[in-house]
Amino acid sequence: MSTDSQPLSDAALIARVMTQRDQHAFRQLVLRYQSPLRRWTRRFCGDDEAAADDLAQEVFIKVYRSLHSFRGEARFSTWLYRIAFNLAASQKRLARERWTSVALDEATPELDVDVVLDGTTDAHRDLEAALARLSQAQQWALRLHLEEELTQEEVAQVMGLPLGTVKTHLLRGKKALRIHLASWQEKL
Amino acid sequence: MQSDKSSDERELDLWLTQTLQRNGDYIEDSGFTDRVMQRLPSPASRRWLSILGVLLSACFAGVLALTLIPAQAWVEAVLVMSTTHFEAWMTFSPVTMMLMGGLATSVLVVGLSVWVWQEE
Repeated sequence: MSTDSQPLSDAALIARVMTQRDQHAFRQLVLRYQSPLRRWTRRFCGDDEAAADDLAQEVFIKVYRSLHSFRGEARFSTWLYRIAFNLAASQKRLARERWTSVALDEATPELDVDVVLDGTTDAHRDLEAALARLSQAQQWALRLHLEEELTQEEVAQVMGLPLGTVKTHLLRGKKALRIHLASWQEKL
Repeated sequence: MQSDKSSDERELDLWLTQTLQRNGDYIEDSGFTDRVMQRLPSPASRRWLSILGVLLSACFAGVLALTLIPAQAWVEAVLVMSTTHFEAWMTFSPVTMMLMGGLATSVLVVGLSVWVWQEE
């Protein structure tokens, strides 16, 4: 029985759930990850917050059911995102094949005059607009790598893609962003 | 040349990371965790108890049936259940029919218990 004010690590909480069927420990995990996961599912579901929260709930329930299969080889967050990705993909019927192949037309995105940014608007909004122009695979690879700070290997695990494919998505995604966000880059 | 490129790459990565994370506002829980916890399957021990309760009730009903219903009726019930002739089903006594109903219910209860267990 610990009275430490230090929060328990993910691994310790998982061990409690597994060995003591401690639902309070699982509650701590949900509290810890609900915000990033719900932010993430909201992107999948667009503006439909209710659908996004339903999806996030499904993810946590799936995590609870599958906790015995978590072997601790990857970070818990990576495993969580992997489950979220699979559930979202099956719900939205996203074709995994679209991510596994790297189409030639992804290499050099067309530069649309309307999205050449003038540098006077909000950087985040412009970045989101530029991201929206990328392929889904490129968007998710970039978001997971840069926003969620997963390593390239972890992104590959989450998206279920070979590492080389993820690297290509990241490289081409950044190349496209560089073009779309040329005006912001000058300010760097 | 290579190091310039790497530095440029790092600079872009940093800018993208900072800009993306800037909008990563914390989403208030607002009862979300409670809703998740309510939907979690009940602990295995509690599930065992509920299924055990159903099975014990079924067994009790079976023992009652065995002691209260004559052996001949059991034989008739088994014979009826093994036949496919509808007429034969109609010729047996109400006790036999009740017994068959009881057997079918027991099978259903056990099947449902197993199904509930697997679903949870």
